[in-house]
Amino acid sequence: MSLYPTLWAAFLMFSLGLFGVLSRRHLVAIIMGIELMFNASNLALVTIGWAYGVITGQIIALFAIAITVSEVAVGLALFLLVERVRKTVYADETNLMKG
Amino acid sequence: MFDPQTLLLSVLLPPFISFALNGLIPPLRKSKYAAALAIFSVFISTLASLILLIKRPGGELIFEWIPAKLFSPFLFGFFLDPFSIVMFFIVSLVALIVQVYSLGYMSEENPSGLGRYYTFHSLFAFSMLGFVASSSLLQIYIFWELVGLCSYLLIGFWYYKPEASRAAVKAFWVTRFGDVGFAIGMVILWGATGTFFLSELFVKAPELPTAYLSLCMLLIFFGAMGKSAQFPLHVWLPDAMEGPTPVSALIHAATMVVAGVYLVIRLFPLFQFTPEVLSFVIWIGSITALIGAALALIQEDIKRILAYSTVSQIGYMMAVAGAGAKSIAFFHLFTHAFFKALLFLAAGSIIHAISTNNIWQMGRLSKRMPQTTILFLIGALALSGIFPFSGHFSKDEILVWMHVKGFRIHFFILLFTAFLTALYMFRTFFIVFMGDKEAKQHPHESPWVMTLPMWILGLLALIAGFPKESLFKFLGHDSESYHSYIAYLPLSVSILGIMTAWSIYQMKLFKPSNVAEALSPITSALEKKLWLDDIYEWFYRGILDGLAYLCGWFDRYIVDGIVNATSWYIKQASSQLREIQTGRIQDYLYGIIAALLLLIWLSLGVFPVKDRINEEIVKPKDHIQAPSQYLEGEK
Amino acid sequence: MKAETIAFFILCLGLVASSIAVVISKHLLRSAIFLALSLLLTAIFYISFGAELLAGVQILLYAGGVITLIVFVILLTERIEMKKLEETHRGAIPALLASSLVFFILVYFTWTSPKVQSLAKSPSSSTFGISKTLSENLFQEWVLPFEVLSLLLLAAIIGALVLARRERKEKEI
Repeated sequence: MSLYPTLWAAFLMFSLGLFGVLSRRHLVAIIMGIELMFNASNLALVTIGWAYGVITGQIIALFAIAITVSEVAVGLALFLLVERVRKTVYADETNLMKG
Repeated sequence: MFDPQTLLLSVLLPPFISFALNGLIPPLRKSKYAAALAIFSVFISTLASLILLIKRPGGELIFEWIPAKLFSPFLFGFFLDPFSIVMFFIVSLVALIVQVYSLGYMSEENPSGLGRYYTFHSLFAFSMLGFVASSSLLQIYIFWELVGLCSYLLIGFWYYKPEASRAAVKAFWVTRFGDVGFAIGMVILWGATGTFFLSELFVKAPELPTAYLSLCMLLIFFGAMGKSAQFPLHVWLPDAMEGPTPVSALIHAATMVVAGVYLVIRLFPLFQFTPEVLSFVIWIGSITALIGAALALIQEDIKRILAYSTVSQIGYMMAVAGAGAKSIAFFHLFTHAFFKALLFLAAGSIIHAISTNNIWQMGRLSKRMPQTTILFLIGALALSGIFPFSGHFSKDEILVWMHVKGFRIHFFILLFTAFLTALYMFRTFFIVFMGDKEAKQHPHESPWVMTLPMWILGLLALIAGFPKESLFKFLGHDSESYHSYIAYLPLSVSILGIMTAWSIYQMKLFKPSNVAEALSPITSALEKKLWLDDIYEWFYRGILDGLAYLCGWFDRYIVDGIVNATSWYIKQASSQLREIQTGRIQDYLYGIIAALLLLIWLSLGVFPVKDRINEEIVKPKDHIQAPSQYLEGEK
Repeated sequence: MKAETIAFFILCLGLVASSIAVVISKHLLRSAIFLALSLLLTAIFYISFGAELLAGVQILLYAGGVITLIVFVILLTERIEMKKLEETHRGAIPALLASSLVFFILVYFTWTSPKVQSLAKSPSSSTFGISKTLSENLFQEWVLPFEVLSLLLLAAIIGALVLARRERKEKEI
């Protein structure tokens, strides 16, 4: 086990998630990108906590998982709502805010 | 079995369990078992507090409400000391008696209403008992608000009557007005000392500057004034009589309204460092005693007479507590709880029989309701302070103390109040029970389920004064007997009051209206309740409405003018800016990314975050133990 | 090189590869499956860092719950028509630029930070991950956040229910 490779893997995962969030069209795909980012940050937290020798990293990661679960529940519910009301599943077609 | 903590819990928990069961299970609440459950639970509390009173242990029970290391406010605790033990006894016993009495009084209520009534009663018993034994100021405040809530709920029990719901709201608002002071004072005190715990406060607070402490105590006393219906915040108590009479007996005579006095007693170790606040307390208490008695003299509603009488008696307690004798205040609280509850229950018995509150529609009830008459007489004699009834002993102590400690003006005010007390009480008695005209209805004596509780209270009102010495010893009060002519003054003044009432209302030696005319300025002032309600209303109408009008003008022309001008420019500018709003979520995310990068740059490059993990947040050796240590520990 | 180190690098590569597959896959269900894979691989990381409880939670909640939820939602809305499941990108090049900028900045700062360097040289690598330590910390030091979080979960449940409920008369927004 070593710190740098794991951290970088986590960073890469985070950036890939960000890329997904920024570029995917399907709303569920965007949610999956967010999941990826969350997961990467959890991994980084656990890794750093392990290197420091403190348990705080794990606890915050645990909290983050709980928050993620609520986020997914609400996000998917919102997605269902958008799909039902706007009859579309694509992020760029829900552009009511266009100025 | 009988260790203090178990007893403490068996006083506190049964009413709460009853409340929770009745509150959460509607079928139970709507059945006839709701009342049985409530009465049984408070019966257990009474038994436990009786054992406590006999064994007189000290002790405390502190637990972590939320077991966190970082926050002190989450420590909760209950503790036993002489005051809380005696108060336990008063509260649980009167609650038990009143709840049994309510079975008769509320018998015409439908089952679901009765269940609601008993649910509130259980909550009240729990919160009052919890208030009594709380060992931290924050917890006192929580229970304080809970009893206020119960008071609101029970005053407005017949919420479909407009007067009842208005009275409930009024009681709520006026007491809340005082509680704002309490909350602010409490928080200031906490800010200065860093603790809510009474035992720690008593050590730390005296070191504060006197002016600072005085401010805190004055604000806290403001809360006590609201809750205990002290002048000028007493206006809610007479209106609170719209609630069921047993509620008035329990909450608005015996227990909740004296919470303010109890708070002053409880915090006396702090009050004693602030002589200015104490003299304010004495003045408020004396004035309240006088005004309450004077207002009681002209009321026509029997419950309002008793309500003003309560205001006046609590004034006595406040005055003597402010004069430094917390044990005497507590003793008067003790006797007052029994005889005033008795008077209310007797009044309730009359109201139950003839369905009116107006004393002029009563008369010659002594023939029809002999038991109620005797009981009311006991209560009236005790309230007037006639030997050997309980009120005599406590009122005597108060007046003697005021005299000995040199509070001359207050002494004479209170002495005059004692005269008025006897006068208004026996005015009521002669009009209601003697008189020469019959009541129109055909009253009948109340059923035994109402008279039996009254007899118990009557017995207590008779004998509660005798254990004076042992109570004072228990409370740690050095009771010196002052054998002087002063000790006979209150008694003679009270007898004089009774004679006056007798000569006016029974023998008709001179007409009440003549007396009223002779004293017309005072009477008219009293009839208007000293214009207090009018003043409050004028204050509200005049000042607040005027202020609101000014604010409205300012808002319409100045604020709106600025806003309109601004909005016009912004509108112009934003029509240029709208082009960057694409409406696509992901385009906005680039803004977030820019902010994220800025944050990373700031926290790592410009303002590096101090590495605190090992120092402050978590200390590894405290919190992280190797698995082997756990295994050893478990062996 | 020890076998352990090789296994570790394979794990890292698997994690990155599955993450890439999540974001570039044209097929939404396939994306979800790769997401599950990367979450499971993360759980293996957790185990190797001594966080068994977290790994369990990860597998149960994430790979079990969240992925199931996502797959459900996909199947619920797509009506299994293959052409609708086709998934495309839009604005991929600026997204790629931005995310790689984030990546390089993160790597740069951790690489140059003396603290992280010293940590990487001598990680404390204590194996404290037994659940007892975790839960003792959780229920003493961190109990207030914990309680607040339970409120958040309750709010999320209610919110999701309210949002996803199908009303009889739907208003067109």
